[in-house]
Parts: sequence; C-alpha cells; structure tokens
Amino acid sequence: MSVLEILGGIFMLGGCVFALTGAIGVLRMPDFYTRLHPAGKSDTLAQGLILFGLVLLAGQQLINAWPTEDNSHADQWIGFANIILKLALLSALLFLTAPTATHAISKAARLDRYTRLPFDQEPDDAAGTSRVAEIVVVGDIAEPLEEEPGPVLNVRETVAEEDDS
Amino acid sequence: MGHVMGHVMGPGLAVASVGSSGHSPTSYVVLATCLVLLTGAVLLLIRALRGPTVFDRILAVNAMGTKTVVLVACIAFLDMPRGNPSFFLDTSIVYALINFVATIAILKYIQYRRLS
Repeated sequence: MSVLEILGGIFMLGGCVFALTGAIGVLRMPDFYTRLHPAGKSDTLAQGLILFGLVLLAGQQLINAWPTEDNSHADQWIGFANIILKLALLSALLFLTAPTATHAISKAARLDRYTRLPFDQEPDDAAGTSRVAEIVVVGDIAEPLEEEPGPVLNVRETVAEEDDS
Repeated sequence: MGHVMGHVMGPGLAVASVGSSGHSPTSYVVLATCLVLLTGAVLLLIRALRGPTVFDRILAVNAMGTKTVVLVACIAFLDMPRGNPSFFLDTSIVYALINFVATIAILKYIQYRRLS
C-alpha cells in the first residue's frame, strides 16, 4: 500500500461514517423538517469524501501505469485519466443536484398546506395541526388548485340555494 | 480462487495487469464502503416505508438514490487492477441525472397534480 492508497482509504472510511450517521438521522429524527437536515447535508459531504477517496485510488493506478521507456501502457494511462475525469464530473453533478432536490422537497412541503406536518406545536394545539402551514405565502398552492366552478358543477351554491328554499 | 485463475491463465495476463496481483487491502476498504452504503440504504428504506407524509418518502427515496450512485461507483473499484471501471461510472452518472429529474417530476406532480 502506498501513501495515496492509505489516504484514499481514510477518506472513504470518513465518508462511510457520514453516510451511516446521515441514514440513522433520517430514520430517527422526530419530524419532517429535522429529517431534511441529515438527508441534505451529510449525504453531500459523504459522497464527496467517498468519491475523492476513489479518485486517490485511481490516481495510484495512474502513477503505476505512467508511460516510461520500459513501460509502454499508454492506453491504460488514458483509461485511468478518463476514470478520474468521470469521478470528478460525477462529484460535481451530485454537489449540484442533491442540495437542489432537498431544497425543492422542503419548498414543496412548505407550500402544501393540506399535508399536516407536525411542526412547531404548542401544548394546547390539537394533534396533527401545523402552525407554520397556516401562514399564507406567495405561490401557495391552495388557490391555483381550485378551478373556476361552472354553473353545473358549483355544488356549494346549489346546496346553499336548497337550504334557503 | 485468485491463485488458481492466475495459474491457469499463465503469465501473459500478469504482464497486462498493471497493479499488484491478488486482492490488495484497498479492495477490502472498498468492500467495507459498499456494505456501509447498503446498510444506510436499508435504514432509508425503513423511513420510506414508514414515513407519515409523502414528503418523508420522497426525501428518503432521494437520499437512497444518492447512496446508490456512490455504491455503483464503489462497485466499479472492487476489482480495480483487472477490471474496467469506466462502464460503471457511466451508469452512475446517468443514474444521478435520472434521480434528480425523477425527484423534481414527482414533486411537481404532487404540487400541481399535473406535469405541464
């Protein structure tokens, strides 16, 4: 084992610690908004560490296959450089997409007022209600879901007229 | 198993393989990483099956997808000196893109009840 392989192993084991604690946090956190925290942060750091450890392992193979006078493995040298490039591309892609997906999930959960998220409860609140979800913000989906009621399908006014008569 | 294969195939392939022959200690590190990622995926699957709201399920499935991407990239390095990890990394990149697009599409469908 060379220095690069030992460093790669250390990075991968650190990534393992972050991945496992993130999964345990998602399983054991009490409500939805606290579950976003381990799922969003520790997964991003864990994939960064593990993929960087794999880059170090591939870098050791690249050094082994370095073309010299008595070692003509030019095609393998290109192959290992290609692997390192793909790992860097994959890590950059995950660094962009994973926090974006977490942000989209949290925004969708915030805007969905019909899902009862147990969050920020006072002791005298009823069970299953959310105080944050009662605050109307711009872009709330409560209004756009309601289509314009036609004369036939307007059940509420029909029932009200029957009650009046 | 490795000794038998090396003996049968002869020295022709031993010249072609660049790294040290046999299982290096880094293979065991990569294997341990794969097992830890599988354990984390099982824990996230429990949350996805149990989650009270639909957003818990989406969150757990998204995190499982990220773990699967890293797992495929680790499987590529299990047999590093002999195998060719390039195809596994292509699969991993495509899976990362599909995972992101699927999460956004499911969220948009839940939010607006349509995808347009």
